[in-house]
Amino acid sequence: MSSSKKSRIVKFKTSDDKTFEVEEAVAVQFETIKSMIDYVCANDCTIPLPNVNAKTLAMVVEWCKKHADERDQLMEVDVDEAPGAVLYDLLVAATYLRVEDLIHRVSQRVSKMVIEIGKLPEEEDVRKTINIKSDFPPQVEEELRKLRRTLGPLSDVLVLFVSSGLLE
Amino acid sequence: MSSSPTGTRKSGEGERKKMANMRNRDLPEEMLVEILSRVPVKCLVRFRCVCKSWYALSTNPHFITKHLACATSHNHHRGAILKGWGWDQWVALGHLQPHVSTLSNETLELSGDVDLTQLFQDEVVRLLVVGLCNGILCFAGTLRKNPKLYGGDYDHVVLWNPATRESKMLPQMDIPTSTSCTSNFGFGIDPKTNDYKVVRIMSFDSHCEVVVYSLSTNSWRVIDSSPSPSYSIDLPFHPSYLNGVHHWWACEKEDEEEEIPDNRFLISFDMSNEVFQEVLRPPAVGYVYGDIAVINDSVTLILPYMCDVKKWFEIWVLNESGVERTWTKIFTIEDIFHRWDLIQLREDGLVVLRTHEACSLVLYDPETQELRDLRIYEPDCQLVTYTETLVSLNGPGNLVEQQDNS
Repeated sequence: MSSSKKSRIVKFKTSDDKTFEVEEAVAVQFETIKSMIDYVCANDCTIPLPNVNAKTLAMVVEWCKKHADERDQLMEVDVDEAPGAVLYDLLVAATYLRVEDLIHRVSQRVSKMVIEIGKLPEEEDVRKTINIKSDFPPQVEEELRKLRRTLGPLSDVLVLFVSSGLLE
Repeated sequence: MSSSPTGTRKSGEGERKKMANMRNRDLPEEMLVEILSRVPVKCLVRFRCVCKSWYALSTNPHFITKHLACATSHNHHRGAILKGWGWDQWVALGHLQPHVSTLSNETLELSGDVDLTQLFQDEVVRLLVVGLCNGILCFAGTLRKNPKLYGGDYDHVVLWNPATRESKMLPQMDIPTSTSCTSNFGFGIDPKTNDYKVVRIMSFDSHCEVVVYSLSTNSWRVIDSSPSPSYSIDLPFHPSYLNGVHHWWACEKEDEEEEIPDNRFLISFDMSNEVFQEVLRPPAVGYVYGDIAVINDSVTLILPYMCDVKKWFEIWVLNESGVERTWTKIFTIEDIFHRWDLIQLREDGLVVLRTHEACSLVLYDPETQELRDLRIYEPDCQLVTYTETLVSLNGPGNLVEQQDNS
């Protein structure tokens, strides 16, 4: 603890094999590794991050360095314009490192996209957009199609299916 | 097919493309939960029809709890306006059926119009929102087929989640028809068991009986605790449940008969311990009746004062920091025509008033004294702000999971 005045450096190795030096003040914001900082610094270890690449880690570090009020701005510039793939990487990294605030901000941002998808008129369009297939049994699917225009919210129909054991 | 302007449509498509980009990779459940818990209920209810796993997620009690926490802290709030709730003659004559519409707190747009008959499975002549908790509204109503109750008791209780449109009619209770009874209600969640409860205080001529309904058992039971039979308790007009406790105004029946206004007090019911208590006596004197409400997580008093044709309201909140409990006046709503009514105190400090002349609702800013006509004309209505939640009344999700506040 002799060098307590001096800021320590925590070393990371990213998924694309780059070594990254992060100041302790930033690294303590990563809940996942917070408790191991002392050990890592004392033993000069490098923490491997198998699912975070260098570009994404740089973004996370920049985010952590900013004050809360500046983060809004960073979000607008870097995240709002970021294509989905970048947001995905960012969310994976934030979740892995457990940077709660960043998880919230990215999730909030992605939820806006999800809301847009929710506005699509047909269920099939929703499935196509997010690249998933309906896994309801064929008879449920058929009933859904038949009933969708005569009954109210489709979810009501599903509740019926569940209660009749069709969906189990 | 979409009629939205090209601008929004285009940006909508952009958003969807980005999402498609994300979906090309596998989204771990943990991340999906984080994202979907920030999506409004309406959208999630739609997604239930997309695939099994999304259906399963949006009906999962853990997810519902997580979504509730997000919705509460991120202002997915809406106003529910109950119309024709107690206009006895008109409703009883069949001129008016109680309806609920939704008023957006931001855009002030009115939408939807739900006929509450379907909730009660019968015609209702009197209706009141008696409680509100986690997006669930609790209604007490009187059915048309029970005319002896008109102007008297409420005999049916219904819980309703306006966001998912799910409702539940509570089991009926046998009350001897020969006795005259008036009921009061409270609704909330027991924070220890996370079970939703309705408390019904039945006042008979010389005694009081209290029954508690719990959603987990779907039944009523009599409890030992009861307020003094000498109390007259006001039905709630504003939602007044907070942190496991429901609140009401009360007074001694004798004082009420002699119209002594200063002797009014508050009583509360603890949803966990199931006991009644008197709350710290309200501060000021000289007001003509008052209302109690819960605004911004504080028990709030709305105290009206009148002088000639002017009226003003003092708004007091109960501070509960530490051991000491005190009442603090937070603001005054000045210069209101004496026949106008206060319909709602909003969390943003604005208030909704009902004008006497046209029975129209206006949004009023007590600071700037600016008025904005909401273009809603209702002689009798109630307006409450609720959070849109997935809380389920019939499914396994009706128990809210213990929230981890650590």
